[in-house]
Amino acid sequence: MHETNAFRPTRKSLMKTDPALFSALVAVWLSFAIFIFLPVIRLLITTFYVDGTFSLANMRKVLGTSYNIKALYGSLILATSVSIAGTFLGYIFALAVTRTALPRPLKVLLGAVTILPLISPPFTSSISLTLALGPNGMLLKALGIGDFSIYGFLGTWISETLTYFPVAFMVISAILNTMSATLDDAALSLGASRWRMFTTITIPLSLPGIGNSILLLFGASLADFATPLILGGHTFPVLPTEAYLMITGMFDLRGGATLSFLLLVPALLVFFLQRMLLGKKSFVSVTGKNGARTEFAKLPTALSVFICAVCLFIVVFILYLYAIILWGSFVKVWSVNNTFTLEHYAYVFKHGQKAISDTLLIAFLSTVIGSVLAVVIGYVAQRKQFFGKRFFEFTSMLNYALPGTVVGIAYIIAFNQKPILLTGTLSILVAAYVFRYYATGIRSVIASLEQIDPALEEASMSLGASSVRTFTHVTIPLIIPAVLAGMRYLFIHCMTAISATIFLVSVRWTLLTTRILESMTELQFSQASAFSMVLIVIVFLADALMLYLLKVTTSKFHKPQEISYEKVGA
Amino acid sequence: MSEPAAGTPFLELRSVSKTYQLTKTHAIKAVDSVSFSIAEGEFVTLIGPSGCGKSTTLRMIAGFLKPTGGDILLEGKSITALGPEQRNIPMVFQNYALFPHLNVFENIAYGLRARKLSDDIIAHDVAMICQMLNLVGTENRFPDALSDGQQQRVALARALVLKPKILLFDEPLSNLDARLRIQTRAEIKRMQTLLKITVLYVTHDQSEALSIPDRLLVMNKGKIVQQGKPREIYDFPSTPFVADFIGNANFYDVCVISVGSANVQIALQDLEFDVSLDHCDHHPTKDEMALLSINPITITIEEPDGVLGKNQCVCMVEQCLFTGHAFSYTLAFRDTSIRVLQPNIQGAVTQFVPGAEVKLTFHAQAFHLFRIQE
Repeated sequence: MHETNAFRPTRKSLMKTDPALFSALVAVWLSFAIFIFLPVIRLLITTFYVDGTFSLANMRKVLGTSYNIKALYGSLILATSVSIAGTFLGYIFALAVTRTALPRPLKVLLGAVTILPLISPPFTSSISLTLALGPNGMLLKALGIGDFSIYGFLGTWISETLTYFPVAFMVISAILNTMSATLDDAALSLGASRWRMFTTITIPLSLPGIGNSILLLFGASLADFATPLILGGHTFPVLPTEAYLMITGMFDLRGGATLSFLLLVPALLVFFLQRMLLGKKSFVSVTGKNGARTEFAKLPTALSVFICAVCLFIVVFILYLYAIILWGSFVKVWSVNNTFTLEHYAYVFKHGQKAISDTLLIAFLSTVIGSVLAVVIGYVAQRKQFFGKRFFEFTSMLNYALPGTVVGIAYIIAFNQKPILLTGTLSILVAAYVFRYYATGIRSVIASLEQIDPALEEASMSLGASSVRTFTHVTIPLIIPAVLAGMRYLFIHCMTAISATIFLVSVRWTLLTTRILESMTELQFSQASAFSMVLIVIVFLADALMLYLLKVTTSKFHKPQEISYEKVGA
Repeated sequence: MSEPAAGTPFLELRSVSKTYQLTKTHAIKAVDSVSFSIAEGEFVTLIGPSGCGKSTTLRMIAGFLKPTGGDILLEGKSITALGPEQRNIPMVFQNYALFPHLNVFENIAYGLRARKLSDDIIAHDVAMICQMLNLVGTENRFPDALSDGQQQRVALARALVLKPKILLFDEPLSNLDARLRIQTRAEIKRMQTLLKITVLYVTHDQSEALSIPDRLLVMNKGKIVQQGKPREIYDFPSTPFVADFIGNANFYDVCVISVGSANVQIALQDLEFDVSLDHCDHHPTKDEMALLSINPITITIEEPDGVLGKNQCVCMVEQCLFTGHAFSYTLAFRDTSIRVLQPNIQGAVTQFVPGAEVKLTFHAQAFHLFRIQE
């Protein structure tokens, strides 16, 4: 198993020393070539090659339009605002859960409410914000505000912040939880006040989490397509929606490719920064054996009160938005005719049946294939030594780092022609999902393997088990929880994502998320709400099933802990 | 049992308790009505097995835990209601709890900065303490770049630089290797004598507990079972638990044959001994069964010479472990076994191999007799 030693002077061919690893690597690299490199290269060619030579003509044309420049600025400003506001909210929630005296049930409720935006389709908050604050919005009516437009920067910003702050919450609360509580004790016993403790210990030690969260949210907002499409309006264009409209509305594939290239640059930059940040040694674990188990010191009272007030406000607002969607799905015409009806659900189950079954089939296939790939890639990347390992790991994450719009456009460009003609098929949808979202699975497998002492595998082999038997009887059982945790996120993403696949759906294969978008563009808000509710319920049930499986598999030899979102990488 | 501390009590605990309510009906008394006091400048060690409540007691004194009953007084004033930051009782933690994002200088300066002292004073005080604790040259390093011993000294410096009147230690040496532990132990004692600080030191290591303190408190199951000078506790354990935990004694059920005015005659197997009444925790009666404790170090082991005097018997060696400064024997003793510790005096002591016959000499003046607890 540890045959391949990098320091061995004479290096034998990998094919001979470890044929299993060799064939796995060949197969994986081949799939990378087709589904990761080919699309990106074709995207670059479409952008920079005109009539067979390198040219900046496309770039000049796109940047020559002031509306596109506005979209570039819009994207960057939106991403910056969302990452700051979302991280702030996430930090407040994380502090509420880890450092305040709130009773446990309330903390569980806080955690549960933050899960909602994660398992919902990306439109949910946009739809309900439209229903509440849009034209004829009920909150506007209730507050008596007549002249207000939710469309534009403000609405997009609020909606994206609400959608993505749970990611910040997960990343930061993981950091806050792993901090040593004795540091709080030490600060206090040295005479620091609680405020001083908070500003000199808690905040500096959570900086890596804050940084990571800002980068994650920046990337997520940059790539978000659904929210600005609904709430951005004409006054506030952003790159993903502009690229989409250029391709679907003006059939300008070159223009779309060029716009998505503009998106690719900051996205890759963020990805590199994040890898650097995570690669640095974290402060958290310096000392070994802990003393008596102790709790974190509580925050100063004024701060606790402020934190609880903010959390209460946000939780109420989120629940309110979801209540609106639920109600909206049961009324005839939103705000015009508020009589109760089931007709939207009847419509969903009659005309949306194909979308439901297609979505489930695609999500199921992607989850299974993605998980198998994730186990192989994660295991190889964590436990084996081979040439080009870092590049291998980097490549596996590339599609995930790129905004969905970029991946979607790259896929239609790459697979729209022979030799690999895939447009309109099931495979292109599954491939897009697998190579984009298996990243969570890979991260989770790697994180889990890092926790498992290689001594366990060595023990197995020193007791006489072969390396294959060791893998199947020791390694696999130990990483099963991580695999399931990865599958969970993979499935949720496949059910709810839209940015990449909006370009890939066809008459033959359609998705629930695209049906929601269609309903929204036709201004059928109630129908969109009904579709959203159905999707949320399906995801929620599937998620509960996964969690149950996770619990069953982990109960025997694992502490009941969730794989943290930080490790998974969101 | 409680010997009054010399001088006026500096720190005093009055029937302090900590109860954890696990469920509505089930509660655990981690600390059960503990009272003791420490005089100014005294070095007191609190020892007990893990889970005996010693760390909980310490954390209540530091202010991290609120007692569920009783009162804690510092210089005659109650500090029970104060938070840890208001007490000026720094603590040296088992895992050192050095701030990983601050360098050595800032770690040591942390408490001074919290007291809003000027930069000049801070620089001076930190430099002084670094000198004292041999930390000069490490000021700009971060904790993860320090050796175990250095981390430990920074943790000590960080507390000492505040010139506290009382300092708490929570098993500060348990993460160090044996050699470093002995060095640091001497260091702590030296600093304490030099700076005349009052110290309460928690440990579960017997040699640590016996070697440093002026006074020792032995704790078990949430209660103080014995307190006194280390030598007294080692030589005169007041309960079988103390004899076992501090002295690692052999225990035997014995029958009381007769009770005299100063001595009590007991039968251990076929041997008979006279134990001083001063060494009994109760007044024994004839024919009573009692618990005899024999410290392994009080038994002499030698080559059999065919002559058996009083308090002597012949046994067979089952196991011999060499620990450097002593041989630790396990011997077959009639139908049971007995442990004997023989000091390796001048390295010239004969080592007996398993299977060898040896002559044991018991010294009954070191025996202790306890009532058998039901």
